[in-house]
Amino acid sequence: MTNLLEIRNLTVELMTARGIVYAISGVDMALRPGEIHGVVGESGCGKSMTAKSILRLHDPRRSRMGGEILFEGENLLAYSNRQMEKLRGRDISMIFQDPMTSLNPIMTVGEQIGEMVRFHTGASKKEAREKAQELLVKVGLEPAAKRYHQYPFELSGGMQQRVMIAMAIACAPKLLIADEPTTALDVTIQAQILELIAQLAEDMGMSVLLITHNFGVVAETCQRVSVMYAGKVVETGETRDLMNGARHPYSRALIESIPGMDSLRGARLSTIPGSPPALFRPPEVCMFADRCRFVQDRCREGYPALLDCGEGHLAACFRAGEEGIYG
Amino acid sequence: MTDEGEKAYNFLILCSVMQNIALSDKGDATEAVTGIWHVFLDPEKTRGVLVTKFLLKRILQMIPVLLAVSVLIFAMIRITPTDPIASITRGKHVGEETKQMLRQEFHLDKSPVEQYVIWITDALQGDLGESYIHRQSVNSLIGERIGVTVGLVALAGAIALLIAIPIGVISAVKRNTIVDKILSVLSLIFVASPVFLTAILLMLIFSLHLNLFPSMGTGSLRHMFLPALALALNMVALTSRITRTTMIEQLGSDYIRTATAKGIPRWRVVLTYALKNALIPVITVTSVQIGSMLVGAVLVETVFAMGGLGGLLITAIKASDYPLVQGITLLLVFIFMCINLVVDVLYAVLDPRIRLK
Amino acid sequence: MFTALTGHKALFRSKKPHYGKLFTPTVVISMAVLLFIVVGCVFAPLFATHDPNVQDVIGSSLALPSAQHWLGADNTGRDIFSRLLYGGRTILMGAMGVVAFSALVGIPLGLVAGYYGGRIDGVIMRICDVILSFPSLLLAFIFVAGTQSRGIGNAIIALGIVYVPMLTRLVRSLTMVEKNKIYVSACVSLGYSDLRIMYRHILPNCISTVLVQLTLDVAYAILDLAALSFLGLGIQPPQADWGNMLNDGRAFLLRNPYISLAPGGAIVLTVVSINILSDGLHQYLDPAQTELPTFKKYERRANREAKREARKAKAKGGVSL
Repeated sequence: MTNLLEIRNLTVELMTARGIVYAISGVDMALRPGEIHGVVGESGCGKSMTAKSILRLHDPRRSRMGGEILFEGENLLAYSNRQMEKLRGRDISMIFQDPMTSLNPIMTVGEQIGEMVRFHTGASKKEAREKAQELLVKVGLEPAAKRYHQYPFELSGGMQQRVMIAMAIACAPKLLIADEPTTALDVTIQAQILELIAQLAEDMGMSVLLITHNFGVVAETCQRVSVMYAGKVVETGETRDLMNGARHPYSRALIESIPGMDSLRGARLSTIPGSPPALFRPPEVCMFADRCRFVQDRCREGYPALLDCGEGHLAACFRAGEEGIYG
Repeated sequence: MTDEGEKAYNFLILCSVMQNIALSDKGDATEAVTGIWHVFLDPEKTRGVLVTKFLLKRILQMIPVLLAVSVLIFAMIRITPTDPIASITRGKHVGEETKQMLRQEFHLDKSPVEQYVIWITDALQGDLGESYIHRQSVNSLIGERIGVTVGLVALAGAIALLIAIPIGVISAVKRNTIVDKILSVLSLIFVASPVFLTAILLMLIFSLHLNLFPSMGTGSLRHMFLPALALALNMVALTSRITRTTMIEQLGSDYIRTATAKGIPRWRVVLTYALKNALIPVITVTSVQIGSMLVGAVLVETVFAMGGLGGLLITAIKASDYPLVQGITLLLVFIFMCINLVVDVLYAVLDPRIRLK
Repeated sequence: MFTALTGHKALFRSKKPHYGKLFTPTVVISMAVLLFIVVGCVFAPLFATHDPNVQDVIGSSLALPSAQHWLGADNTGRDIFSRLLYGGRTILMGAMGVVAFSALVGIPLGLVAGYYGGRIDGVIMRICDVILSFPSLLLAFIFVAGTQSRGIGNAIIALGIVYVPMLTRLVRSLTMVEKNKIYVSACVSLGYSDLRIMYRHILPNCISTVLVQLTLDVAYAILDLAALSFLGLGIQPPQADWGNMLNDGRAFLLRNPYISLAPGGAIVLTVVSINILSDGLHQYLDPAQTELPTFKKYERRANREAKREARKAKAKGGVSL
């Protein structure tokens, strides 16, 4: 099966007031057509950075990218700005964490959706309007005629995120990047939005890259998942495989800290001691070593390569091959 | 020489046309026009009512402020008790009887409160009284000269906005490049240069040395150009700085990221997304700017010896011509308040969060 | 997201942080220029080459710059350089006076309005609204007209009145933000008096913003004082000041432009320097304002520093051996 999206050795460096931050240092990821692929990790691990890199949304004067991002076999990092503009929204679209600030405050939601259609398909104003109303119905915003004329501030957070989704799917993209789409929303709304995304992905045959810090969300929606830590992918594989037998101690710890699995049994919720390291020129060693229960001397001497554990299940840990160490 | 003047005028018109084109794309020019109507004729009736309410409220709020202003003007000008009879007679010796007559004529025999009541009741009916030194109605004195001042300020304001906003946008987009740095040094200098100095320099260079424009008087657009430019440059400097700051702020915001992710072309992201949002704070500052232009006009009129309200006001102040000072001041404040009202309406046109809440 | 990143201990950081620095080259230059101007003006009698008010119509009327008159002389033969120094003295002191006046009145009013809110706030704000409905200097004009006598004192009060409402509004809004912070509740629960809370606790927490505004106000006050004098409503001749000197020279622009240009240049130089200083202060207090360097610049600098370090290490090594 050919991959829709393949990220090879992606690096992103950012200029900040404190110096250069090596936000992503060699990420590899592959996305198959039609699959929902989760990316999990603590905040600051580079998962949103990876997502933004695909559409090249970093400020070019404050960032530097390396590696390859292959979309349908073409390297997006080699695209011209004009080519990127055409691709954004038409082939790959994106929704963001905070719908409140992500919509233009002085444009009606209908215009914002319709604009998308007009720019990418060259539709007339009238066609764009009809299409926008159609999309509003599709994402469950009714009555569409009324919603069309409303401004973002007149809608609730959940409704705003629906508008974002309507906009994102307007041109039937092949890939939807959802960057923590439910983090800013109420718990009750979160499930609805996730369900909507999953439903649309299935109906339209669209791949989804779902960025989240919540393994529970991944377990419910994603077929495959990549776990990120300190600017690198540490483990990737089928969600089921990972949930049942994570090979990297970090993924393991993340899964153990999902509330509901142990807490139902009255056990204490497990946590990962310490916090992720800052990424000013990270050394080439396992970044998780300081927080790892299974640490060995070699972890502090070199970075472990991704080890194939079978069926596309890869883990970047020296001890991933050892059986039963978590027992 | 007339050619040069016309060239300058044509250049101005060209600038305005170019800016209109720059600010709008295919459909947006009509949208901008219908946008204003959109406020009043919203598809949903309730919204139109809200807007009317908003306007009415603002107009009603003006009345007490204007009254307070009139009291302040009246009181402040009489802070040191003096007998204005000296300014009425212009220092000439007159008999006690004539003085008495003059006192009666100008209501100076009444108490200050009564004098105020007389003045404000007349003013509300459109009569600003009679000047002490000119012995002519304040209305006609103002009427003869207001055209110059208002024309000057309007022209300067138009020039300023036409230059300032593109400069602000360019320096925000090209921030930290050599272009931006040159523009910021220039605007720093013009912020620091008082209007009357700018006026003197322009006069020295363009009319005394190069002989391109007349150095004094009024009458034609060529007479107006240098004074208006002098007035405008100061405002250009400030407005372009503010446009730059707000543009940079807007360009870094989430909805710009969304627009980019949607695949909207960069120029459109900059002009219709960022600029439209950035104009909201810019307009607020512009209203204050126009206020200082009204006063700046007084200074520029002095430099270019234009027969506007400025000269009239300054001579009136120096001669303690109370009715004239009161009349001009009240009028200027009223104009300023009306400008603020227009700005508020523009604000509501641009920002749905204000007009619909 | 990056606050999360940068909040932790940095693994790599250049030795000297370059950002949030007060003494950048531009700020240092502008401070030097200001110092030069201030010292020159304050000690005007020491530096002046002539008596600023002595006329010499026959000898040096409208003299152009020369060894005798560094910046030339005006129509009555008064030395422009000397008048410039004395005039600067008047206008700088006047500007400081205006800012001091507005601070003395505006800060307490703003604190009270912001801290107590309610009716007091309403009254203070309405008064500010009325004053602010006068376009810029217009109110100062009427005040000067009303007091009959002209001079530096009246000009200071007139401008002070105009400056107060803006400052009051600023302090009020800052106070309203601070008021809701926990340390204020702590103070209240400790039984501190309102006055103490306002001056010892709230004010120090918003003083930096106020300070930036006050330095800017000095610059504006110089411009406005000059405008008043230019119109003949401020400092009265023969006392020199940059505004009335500019006005004096208008009639002789072609024969000796320095009469107007010298004070004009002095105004621009002073105001530009103050602006840069206030901008630097702003960036220092709010480092988010600082622009980041490009990768190229940053790496060049890092390389340079690394080389320097290496050289130092080498030198040290040589000594210890």
